[in-house]
Amino acid sequence: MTTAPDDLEAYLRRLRVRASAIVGVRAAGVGLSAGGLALTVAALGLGPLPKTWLAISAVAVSLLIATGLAGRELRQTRRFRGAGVTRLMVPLSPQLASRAESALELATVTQGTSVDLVRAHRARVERELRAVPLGLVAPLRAWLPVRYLAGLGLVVLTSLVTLQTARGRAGAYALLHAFERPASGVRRADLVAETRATLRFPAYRGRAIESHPSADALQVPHGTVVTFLVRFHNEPNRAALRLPSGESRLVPASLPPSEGNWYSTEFVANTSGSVQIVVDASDGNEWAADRRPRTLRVQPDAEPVASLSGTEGGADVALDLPTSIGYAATDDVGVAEATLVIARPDGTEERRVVTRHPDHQTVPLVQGAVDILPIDLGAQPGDRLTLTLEARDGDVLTGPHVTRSAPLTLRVASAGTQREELLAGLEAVFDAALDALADRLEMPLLIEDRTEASDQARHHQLAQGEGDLLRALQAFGTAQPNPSGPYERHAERLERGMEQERRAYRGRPANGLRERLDTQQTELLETLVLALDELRAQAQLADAAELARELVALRRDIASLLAELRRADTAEARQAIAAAIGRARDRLAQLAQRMAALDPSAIPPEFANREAGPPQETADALGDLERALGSGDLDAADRHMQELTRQIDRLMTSLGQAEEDYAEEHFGARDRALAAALDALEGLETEQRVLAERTDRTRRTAAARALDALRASGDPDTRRVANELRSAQQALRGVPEGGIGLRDREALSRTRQRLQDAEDALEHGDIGEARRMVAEARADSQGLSRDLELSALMFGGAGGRTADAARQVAAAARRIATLEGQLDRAIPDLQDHLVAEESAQLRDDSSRQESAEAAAQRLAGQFREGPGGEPLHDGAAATLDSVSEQMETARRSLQRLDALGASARQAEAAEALRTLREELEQQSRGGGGSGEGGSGGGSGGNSQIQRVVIPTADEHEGPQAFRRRVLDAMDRRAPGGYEDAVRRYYERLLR
Amino acid sequence: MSTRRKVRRTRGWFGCTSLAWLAMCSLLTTHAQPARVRGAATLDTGERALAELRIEEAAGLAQAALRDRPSDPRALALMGAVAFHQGDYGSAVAHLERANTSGELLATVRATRDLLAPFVSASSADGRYRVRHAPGPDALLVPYALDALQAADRYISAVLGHRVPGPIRLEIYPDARSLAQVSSLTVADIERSGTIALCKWDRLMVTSPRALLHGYAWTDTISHELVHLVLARASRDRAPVWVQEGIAKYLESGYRRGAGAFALDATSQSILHEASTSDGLLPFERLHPSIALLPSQRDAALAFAQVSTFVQGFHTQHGNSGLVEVIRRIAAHEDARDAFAAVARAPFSQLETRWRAVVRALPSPTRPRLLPRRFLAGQNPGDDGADVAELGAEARRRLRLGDLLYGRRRFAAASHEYAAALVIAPEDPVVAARFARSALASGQAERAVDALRPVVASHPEYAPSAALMAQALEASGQTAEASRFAVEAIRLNPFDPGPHCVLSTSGPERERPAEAQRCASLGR
Repeated sequence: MTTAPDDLEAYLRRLRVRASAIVGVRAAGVGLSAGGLALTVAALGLGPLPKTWLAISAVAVSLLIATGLAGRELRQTRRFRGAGVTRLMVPLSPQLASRAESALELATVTQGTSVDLVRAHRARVERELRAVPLGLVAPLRAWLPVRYLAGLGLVVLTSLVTLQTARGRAGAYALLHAFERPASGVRRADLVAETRATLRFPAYRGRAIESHPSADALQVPHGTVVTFLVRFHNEPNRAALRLPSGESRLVPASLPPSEGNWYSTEFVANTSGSVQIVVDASDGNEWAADRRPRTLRVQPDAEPVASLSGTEGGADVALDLPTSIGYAATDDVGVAEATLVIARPDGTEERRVVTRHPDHQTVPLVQGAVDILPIDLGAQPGDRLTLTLEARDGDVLTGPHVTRSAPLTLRVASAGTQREELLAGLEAVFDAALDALADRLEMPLLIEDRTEASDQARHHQLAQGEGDLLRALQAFGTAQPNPSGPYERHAERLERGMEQERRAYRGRPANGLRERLDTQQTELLETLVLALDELRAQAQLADAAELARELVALRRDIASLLAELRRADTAEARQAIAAAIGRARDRLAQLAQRMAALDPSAIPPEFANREAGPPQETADALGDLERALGSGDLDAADRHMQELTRQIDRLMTSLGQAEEDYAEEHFGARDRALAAALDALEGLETEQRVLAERTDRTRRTAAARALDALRASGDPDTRRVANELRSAQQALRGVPEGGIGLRDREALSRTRQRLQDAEDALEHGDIGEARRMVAEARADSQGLSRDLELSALMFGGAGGRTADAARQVAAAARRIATLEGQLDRAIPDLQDHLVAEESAQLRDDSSRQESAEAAAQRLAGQFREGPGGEPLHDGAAATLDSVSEQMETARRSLQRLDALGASARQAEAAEALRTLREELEQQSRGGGGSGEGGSGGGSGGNSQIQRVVIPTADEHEGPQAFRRRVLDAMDRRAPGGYEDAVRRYYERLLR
Repeated sequence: MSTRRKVRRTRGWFGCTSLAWLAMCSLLTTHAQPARVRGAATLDTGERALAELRIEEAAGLAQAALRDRPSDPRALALMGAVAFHQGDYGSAVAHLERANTSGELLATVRATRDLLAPFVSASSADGRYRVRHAPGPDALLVPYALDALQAADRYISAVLGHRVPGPIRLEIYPDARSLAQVSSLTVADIERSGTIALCKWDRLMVTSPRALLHGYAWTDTISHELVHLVLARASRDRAPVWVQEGIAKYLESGYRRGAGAFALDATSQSILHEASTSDGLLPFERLHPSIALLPSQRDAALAFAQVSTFVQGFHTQHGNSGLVEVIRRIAAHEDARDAFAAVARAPFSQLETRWRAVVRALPSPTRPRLLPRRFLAGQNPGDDGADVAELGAEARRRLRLGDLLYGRRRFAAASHEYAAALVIAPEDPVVAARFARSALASGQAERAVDALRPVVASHPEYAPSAALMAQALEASGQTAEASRFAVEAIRLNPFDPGPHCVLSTSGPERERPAEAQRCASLGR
């Protein structure tokens, strides 16, 4: 028979669970406390760095003890299986236990028993059990007595207390991590009890020494000296500090023993990263690292911050007046030096130290102002100077750090910038007019809900805008050279219209009057807008034309400088050409900008496709030229010069197209003819110079040959020459050096040396070499004489010594020239010493010279009769006539095979052409094309855009006469407060 | 004079150029051998096939000839010519060089090869249409070009009863200079005559609308050139120019017209009407041998108007079958006038008389202002300045004031001045477009629509009007019509972002993302 589980089984099951749970708790308690105790003992015994096998064994033994004791306890639960659980009731009631056991047994018997009896028995047992709580059968207190728990607690507490000791804790860490295998190969252990740090900051920081109670997370400025102290739990064999920058050995610190096992090391903080404290675990090479992560964060030294502030609103600066530039520089370490770096147009830089402090006395902030005078920097009107402030800090450890401010570009005021200002003013007036018209159109008078109030409000608003326009127009008109020009007339009309409207809005509205006046005023504004539009276009074109002229002049400058460079490759020539290229680049950019503004598409049309063909030509002829010069390839430079010429020509052509309506009055035939004539003059000069050089070369080789022949035939009478030479030397010796500058002293010394060389050559009978040396001495002395004369004119020198030196050098130069002549006369006729090829070359060159002569005559004709019969430049024509005569003389000399005479005349002609070209270029730059004889074609019809033209040095008089006049003027007393400015002005004129 | 193209499509260009080309090739081959009897016949047949634009047949014959005589200069020249006609320029140059051909034609083939070397190719899904274009912005044209080619091919093949075997090759050149490079025209010719496309050497050669200030009806031009291609092949390149141009002009817009009737543009109508009322119509005899030889551009435009209306009348009366029969007869060496007369069963003079009567009965149109095409290349200004110069002084003054105010972003005031100019020149497309632009910017979309309506009718090829019309209609809530005008504008100048932007919001739903992308990319 089987019976379903009922109350009896359920009761016994619950009893079994309760009893098992209590036994389980006991077992756990025993196991944990025993295991814990074992581990604690092991930890204490083994310490922080046990052998690995020992640590593993200790852990294993502890586990065995714990599990063994716990298992022993758990074995008791075997008694609770099946009917065995009823025995738990024995202490309470043996009968009940027996009855319960029998009831369980009878439930499994199927035969030979009375079912009713069994059921009755079972029911009785269940009834009795219901009265017996489980707690009575398996009492918690009896099974888990307090003393037992207290014992366990004592064991655990003892273990925990023991583990709180440094050795206990370190040992426990070692046992708990006994199975770890770190990837770095360095074991981790609880080694360090505490750390400290002492920080000594870099001197520039000016901070006191700091001590930190913990060095686990250090944050220090770069360069700080850190004394790192470590107290270990146990004294290590060896210890070290592993830093991002390397390893540093930890050595016993000199602290009292009572402080513990302190070790220390010192390092300079320069790299951020993690820090490890490591010890040698044994005498071997097995390193262990402390378990705690530590970091070192190095704060880098910041670069200084520098800034410059220029003129208010970015206005242009005056060429010959000082401009104040504000500067400021800051640095956390301190600014040691601030330098103003000024980049000139030629690419060279000038550096001015504006503040300097010794490294140990740097200041966190420097600021102030410095004056710059563009003229002293070699700038010319329209040039741009780029300024930067360079600041250096006083960081002696990681620095010094140097930084540069953002560049500040200053533009030197020029006629071009004045034109720009005028254009901007005109543009502002134009915009005001456009707005006034737009206001009127956008606020129609005739609206549906029109009232007197709406009329008045509209009138008030419009009158305000038109009043602004009127004032702008009047102000702009007044600023014009011709105040009664078109602006004044427009202003009058506008004012009249405004007055009429004002009257119409004062009283009651008259019949249709306001409407009529509104229409009238609208038309007036429309007319004004269109007129201003026209004037604006004219002004833009005139401005662009002026820029184009400057560009053409610059191109000529570059060409002549290039020729100069071919003759003598000097640093000065290179610098000059670089400056001219810089200026040309600037003007090109400005011209392109102006021409873009002339583009009618500035007012957007309907959508239209844009040029999609080949890319626009972006050839940077100036850049190419610069590069060619940099690499010393003058032939390539010539080619790029031609490309530049073409580029400028294209710009001029474009300008000519844009200028179609206005061209003749702004950039007319006269300008073009003058430009063409100047080009022709430049070509003629080049040809003449080439011819002169060829003849001179022939002359020199023939002279050398003649001298050789002379030496072969016998010693010439050199006594007279030697006497003259000594006189010249004597004259040079008397020049007082105190009155002249360093560069001039060098020239003087060079001249003396050349004369000494000549004397030596004469002593050795080498007249050829003597002549060569004398020729060099003559050139040097003449140049020196000119320079000293100019210096004397400007400054005079202390006590007139410069003037005295100039006089003496001039006298010596004359003597040397005489000496050269004597030497020339001592040399026999060159013609007899020409070889056949040289004779042929001279004859050939005579026909070239004839062509040049004809070209000079043609050019003279061009200057004499320009477009419309007006002369371009009478003076130039006369000079060319004279040059033509020199050429003729040279040609005849060439035909006679007189190399000496031909060379001299040719050189004179080339020099005259150069002087003429330079004069004309100077005039074309300064005179705006209104050169001599050309006043009729000037800009009289466009007075509103006239430039203020300052006459240049050579415009009307020869250089010497001009200097004389300047010197006379200098003698006069300047007004008070203007002495410096006047002096600078005269000096500039004299340069 | 017509504002439409004066595309140079001379009679028998295919035949003439091909024959001349082959003749030159043959003459210029320096190592020509005496023709052997075997193979010479093949070459004769091949050359004839090529001259009659039976390219596929010519290709087979050229291959056969080359198999027989691989180094025969004549065979090589024929193969080179075939390759050129098939668009394999590299192979064409190689064969022609091996044939020792020299002269201008080889230079053209080389120039074509070199010009097209960096070009990008695109094909329709079935490979029947191939488009080559310069890399870059012209890629935008491809989907529109393929759609136009497909629609036009379907329509033209049905009307003319001839289907080109394909592939049909379209080359789009970035500018007039490129077109000159691959054709025998010069840039000056192109700019002077307004030539913008050619159908030559079995391919369609079209200039990108990007090369013109305001684009042009480039999809119609593709269709027009396709008519020439089909007609040349169908007639074995024997149709005279007036027939070619008449049919091409008449059919060019059929692919998009649907059931709508053919209509001359307003300018052509005006010229035709003037000529008919002043007895100035050109006798058809004068259109021989070439329309291009007529003394003036006006006469040429009149000739185009005449021939297209003549074809229109004929087609209306005799249908597709009539046209097909005429072409068949022309292909069989019959004179074109006789062919028309035979199909119509009436003397040609009678056909001409009937046509004159129809032309005289045409209503009198207003004469719109001619806006010539403006190429971007050369000395042409990049704006409408030249168009504006034709206006009267007061209109120009108002236009200038409007421009200045618009430039200052005072749109309402600008529209006031433009409106004043519009009163003086009410149907001027430039003035109307400027007014519409400022009116739109100042929130007067309805006024913009009103101003543009007459000019989009009188100047359907002025792209800014169509584009602005689309924008104005969209702004006034008429999205369906806006979408239609946007499509029209793209048909003229797909590089204007405006119409794409309209379609991105008002166009068919499925096309909106692509149009939005075009709107964004072109608007950048």
